[in-house]
Amino acid sequence: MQRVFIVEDDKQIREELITLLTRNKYETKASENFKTISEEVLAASPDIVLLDLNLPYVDGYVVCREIRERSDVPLIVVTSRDSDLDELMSMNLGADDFVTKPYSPHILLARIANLLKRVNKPTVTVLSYAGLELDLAKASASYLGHHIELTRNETRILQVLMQQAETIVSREYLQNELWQSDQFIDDNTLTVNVNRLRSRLAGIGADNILHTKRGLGYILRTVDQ
Amino acid sequence: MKFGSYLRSKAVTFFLFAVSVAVVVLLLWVSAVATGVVVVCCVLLLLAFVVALVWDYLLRKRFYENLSAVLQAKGTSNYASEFLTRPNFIEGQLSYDVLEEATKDMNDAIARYRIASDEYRDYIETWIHEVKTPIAASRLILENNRNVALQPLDREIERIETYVEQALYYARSTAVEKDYIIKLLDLDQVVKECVKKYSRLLIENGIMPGFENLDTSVYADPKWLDFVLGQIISNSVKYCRPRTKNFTPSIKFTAENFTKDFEVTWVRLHIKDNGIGIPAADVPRVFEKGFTGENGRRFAQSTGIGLYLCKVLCEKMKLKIALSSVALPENQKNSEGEVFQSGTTLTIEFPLNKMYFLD
Repeated sequence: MQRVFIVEDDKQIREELITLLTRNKYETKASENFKTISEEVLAASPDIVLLDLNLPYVDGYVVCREIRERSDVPLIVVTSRDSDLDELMSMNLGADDFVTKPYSPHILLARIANLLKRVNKPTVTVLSYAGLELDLAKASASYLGHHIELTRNETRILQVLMQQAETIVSREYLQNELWQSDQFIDDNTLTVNVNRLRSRLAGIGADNILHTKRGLGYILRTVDQ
Repeated sequence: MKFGSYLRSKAVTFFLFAVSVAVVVLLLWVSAVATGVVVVCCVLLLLAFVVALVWDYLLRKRFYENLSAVLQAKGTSNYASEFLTRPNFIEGQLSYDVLEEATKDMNDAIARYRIASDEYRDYIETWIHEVKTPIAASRLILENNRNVALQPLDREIERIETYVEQALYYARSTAVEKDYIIKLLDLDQVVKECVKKYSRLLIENGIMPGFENLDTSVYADPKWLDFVLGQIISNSVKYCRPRTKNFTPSIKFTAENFTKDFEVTWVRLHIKDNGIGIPAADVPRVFEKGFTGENGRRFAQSTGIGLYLCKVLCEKMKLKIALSSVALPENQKNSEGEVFQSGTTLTIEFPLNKMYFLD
């Protein structure tokens, strides 16, 4: 599991980030000792650091520089300061990426995954639910020893459903997820994609797992009430 | 100052001089003074008068000429006294002092207001950056507690974000200094990133984006351009409701390259929706600040700021922006028949010559 160190002074955001990242299969660590925050980050030796610029006691830039002086850990600056100057400063001080608040949680997750991929620390690439396994790197699914290759859209849909297994995912949400990966599909195409995915899953024996909730969306569940 | 007009202004002096000379001549004649003496007296008096007059005229001439030159030169009135030297005659000194005092007061007042408005703008910018933290927190809370019932809240937060962003750019558009950076951008990427940002709004309203020929580069500030495109998209969404069953609302992004001597000289980006359009009478005024027009009155939620800001920001980046529209006729509004080809097209023109941006 990849470890993320969160440097964020807003308690609410810190806690929500922990929940979000934990849910997305990351291990998280955070601290409130901002006076010695760079020491704490280095001591924890995380795989990636999320750094807010507006911190009590110390300036985010200083923290950024202190960490960089002693470590090459991937570092994303997350801030509400959005001027080009801030971006330039962060990059000059060795930040690997720059995300401005208010960011959409999906974008933040995507940036983290991208950065980890770039430094050759692949994130979780195999998702599983009730015997069904999805390999994101190979875009293939397997169930009880049977394998199938999936298309890009099918992989993305199954990924979202598996990450939120046993909860209803709305059609709009799925459509949005596909748009975010440059697949600007319409409502009908989504239906076609999901139906095709369902029949292909049934083909390897994983039938009765992807259910339609009329008017609400889709759900991945072994037993359908 | 012409000598003639100076003489006219001295008409009373002339009259009094003439009367007193006449009286002196009369008195001398009555006293039986020799005619030669009377003539000499008259000549002496006249000579003294003319010399005094010319001397006085020359004294004033330079000051008043400078003054009227300052008056004619436009845009220099707030430092007029700097162009003049304090004259050595009393009325001139008085008007010089008044002018100097008045320009000083005026400049003080301008400086005061400029500082106040700069401080206000700084405050607005700071406030906006502060309010982004609770907005970011709210988004994370919603993401972590996803729930069908909370979905409308997501949309409302997105709206708050849009308004906050608009306020930020409004504050920035009033800045006197240049605070943007023109870079070479991949148009396809900029457009798609912006569509992704507004994806939820578009999906919810069933509006499909279309991209055509966007594989080109343009010069602009990435954030400003993103904001301008965002305003255009959100406008289109407002006026792009599904009308009939077979009607798919859409927003199409098409780029057009214009070449001269085998070199691309400018790129036009057309953003075309098939919404209800804007009445022809309103089209010339859509970029005016606070103008909402017929659609604004019917659909509310219109502040008349969005397109105005687009225009201001585009002009600062040296881009041209124009709008054309075909309005949906009144009787077509709820018809189930053939769909009338209405819609609005925004066109942004990007010059590709780097020299154009050097100023």
